[in-house]
Amino acid sequence: MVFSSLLFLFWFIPIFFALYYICPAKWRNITLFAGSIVFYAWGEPSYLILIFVSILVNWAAGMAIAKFRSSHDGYYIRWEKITFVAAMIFDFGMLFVFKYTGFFVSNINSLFNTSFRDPAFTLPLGISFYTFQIASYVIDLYRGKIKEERNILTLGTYLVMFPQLIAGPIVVYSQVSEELHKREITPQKVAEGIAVFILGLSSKVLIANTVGELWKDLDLIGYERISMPLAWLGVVSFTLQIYFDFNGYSLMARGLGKMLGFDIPMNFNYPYISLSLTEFWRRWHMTLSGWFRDYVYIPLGGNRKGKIRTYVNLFIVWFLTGFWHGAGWNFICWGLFFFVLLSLEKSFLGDFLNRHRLFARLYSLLLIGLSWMIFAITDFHKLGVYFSRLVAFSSIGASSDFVYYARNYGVVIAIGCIMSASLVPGWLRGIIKPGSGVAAREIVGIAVQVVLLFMCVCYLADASYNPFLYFRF
Amino acid sequence: MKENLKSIIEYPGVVIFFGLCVAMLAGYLIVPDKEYSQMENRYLQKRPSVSASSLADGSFMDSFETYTNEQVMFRDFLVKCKSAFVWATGSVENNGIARGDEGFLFDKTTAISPKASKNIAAIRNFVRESDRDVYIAIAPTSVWVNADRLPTGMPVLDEVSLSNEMTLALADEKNAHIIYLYDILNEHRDEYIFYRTDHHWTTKGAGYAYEEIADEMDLDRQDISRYDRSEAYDFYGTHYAKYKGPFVSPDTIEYYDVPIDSLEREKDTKYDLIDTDKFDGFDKYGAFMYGNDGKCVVHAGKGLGKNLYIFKDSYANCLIPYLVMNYDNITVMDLRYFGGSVSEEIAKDPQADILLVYNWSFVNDDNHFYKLADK
Repeated sequence: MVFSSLLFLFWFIPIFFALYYICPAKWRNITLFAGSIVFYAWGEPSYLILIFVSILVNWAAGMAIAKFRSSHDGYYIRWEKITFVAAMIFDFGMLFVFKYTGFFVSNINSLFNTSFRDPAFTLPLGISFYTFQIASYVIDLYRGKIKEERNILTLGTYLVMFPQLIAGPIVVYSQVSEELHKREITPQKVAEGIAVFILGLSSKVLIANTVGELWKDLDLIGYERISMPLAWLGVVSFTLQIYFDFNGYSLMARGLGKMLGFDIPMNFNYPYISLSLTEFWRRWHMTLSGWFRDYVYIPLGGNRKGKIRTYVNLFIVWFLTGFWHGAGWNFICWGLFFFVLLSLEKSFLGDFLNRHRLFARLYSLLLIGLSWMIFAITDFHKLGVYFSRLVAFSSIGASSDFVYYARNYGVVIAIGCIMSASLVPGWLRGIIKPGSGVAAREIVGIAVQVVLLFMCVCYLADASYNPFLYFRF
Repeated sequence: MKENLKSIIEYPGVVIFFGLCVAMLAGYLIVPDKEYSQMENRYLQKRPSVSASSLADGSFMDSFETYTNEQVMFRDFLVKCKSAFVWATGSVENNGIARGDEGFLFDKTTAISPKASKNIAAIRNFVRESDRDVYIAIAPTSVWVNADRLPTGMPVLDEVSLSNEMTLALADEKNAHIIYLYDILNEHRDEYIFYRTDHHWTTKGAGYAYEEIADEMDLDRQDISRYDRSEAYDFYGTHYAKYKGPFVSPDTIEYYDVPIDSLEREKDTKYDLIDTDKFDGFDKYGAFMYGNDGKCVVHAGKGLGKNLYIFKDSYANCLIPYLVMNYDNITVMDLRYFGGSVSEEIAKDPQADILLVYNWSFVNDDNHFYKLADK
């Protein structure tokens, strides 16, 4: 099930939240667990078993690690390690098998001229996200940062919690362990949650889906046939689409989290205002970059083991980041694109950017936009064609295609630019935050919410095109 | 909890949000399902029933989701509001339909489909197998004829490329007679030859096409104006059904009452060519030939000794009243719905003429041309 659907809004939300709010506090986890299972199974019942197995294995691993540790016996300490490694192999092995088998089989086949059969698994929904989440539990437990969770239902609720199960944010266990056991639901929090949810829904439905139509059209027209101005408009539109799509999803998750009594972390912090790509990754998909920092980069030694090791570590992190986004060479290239630029920024470019802010802004926006092309166009030949259109100066004026698309999408693109560039003044942004106590502001805030929600419902009632980009991962 | 309930009044946002969700849910549960959408001219999904198998293969979830979208309370109103919002952002396009000059709505087709070549090949194979002349009349779309009324820069289906491809494909076929209708319609481009809110040509447009076809097939051009002429008003066509934006003025349908003996349809028999009841509904173009049918036979009773087979899309439906003036019996086949064998069918009357009437948009992406070459 997706958040941005009438099914979720008018069936799931009223029924689930009625049950959730009415039931006694001690039953809330089981209600949430059951609701999340329905939410997940609606689209993909066959892979439900994978989630149950994952919960069981990681819960058992956690219990075993704690047990071995408490024995204080050298023999068992070894077993503690073995259990930990086995759990990691299981978690990442599942991810590997279901997500990457096809990629490796086809590459090995073409490299060695073999003909291994591709099992052609469909990607289990959300596996990239929930694997990282459950791994954070076992790793933190092994590191002694948290205590084991004895109640399998509580651990299961953490893993399947519907706001973040399918496309993040990647909530590490330690962030929500307290709320899993005891959480408070106040009208203030619920009101805030609704406001955030509506904002996210609007991002997705009103902006991302709309500009997404433009991007889809370019593919249908064929990249070789578009003019240079239209190609650039395409870069802008995809750049906006992916931000409003993913940030919209993350906001909806955060809003729903608040409505449930959880504090799901922010995932985006105006990434497009960054003045370097290093800064961009501190603002984009923060829970993912945080995960790689805490569980890969720092354990590898981070930047504390000399220059060469630092760059090797960066390489590993960015290779993995790219590969995490998809089992394709273009995603690896996309990750390595950032490795190269972040390395350059680390060595000398960063200082230069600090001193030349205007250049830094243009540089960041341009490279972020181009990086999205590597991300969006999975076929290298087509990618090459697209880049050639970006510099096809002879096509300027040869085709009026730009006029059509600028006219149809100009207003929405402009709104998207303003919103993503954080140009909305603070007082206006704060307006939809409930509970300010100022009556006039509250009324305007609610009016804005009502209008946005109504518009979203109208768009959804007529929607034919409604994909979530991050569902592929 | 009780305090929470009391203080919830201080958060009207919460009340409104959940109130709306619950009210809409109640709408699904209480309001009876609608069978048919007048505005969109299509059947709607009703609430599906659950079964073990439909749950297991996920088809229940799919149809339930469609049901949720199609039976939402106030759907027509919501959808119209959406179109108005899109219009308000300055966009001329909604759901793939673009608004051009003079109130014309156009279908945006971004590129030639890979199916086009297959369809052209199927036509070539049909001609190659044929023991007699095959006339192939291809209509341009409204988009191509109204090129100067399109919104600037709108992507269009390249009908010249398609024509070239077809000409080339049929170059060696002696039985093939292609009748491109673009030139004749383009000459009359400032007349009311295409509906503004629908993808079809008008009766007048079909009339010009008829003259061209008659000349090519060596028929005596007949003047349809000797029959009773009528008009039907307030026609909002297929393009409008998708566009649904504000400020669209309706079309008028012109039709002639050409008398016939009978129209033998798959399920019943009629005694005229126009289903005037349809003019009361939304699908007014469906009046011509009582809508599309797999196979139907028009018995004109003219005693001219000539019969005709037509393979066609819906463009032909308002062309047939003209052709009826030149033939005794016309067998009309729409391959989308025709279940029989084409070769067996045309073997029944080896003397009859064969005419294909299609428009480029149909040739570009229909899936049923393979039935032509069924041998």
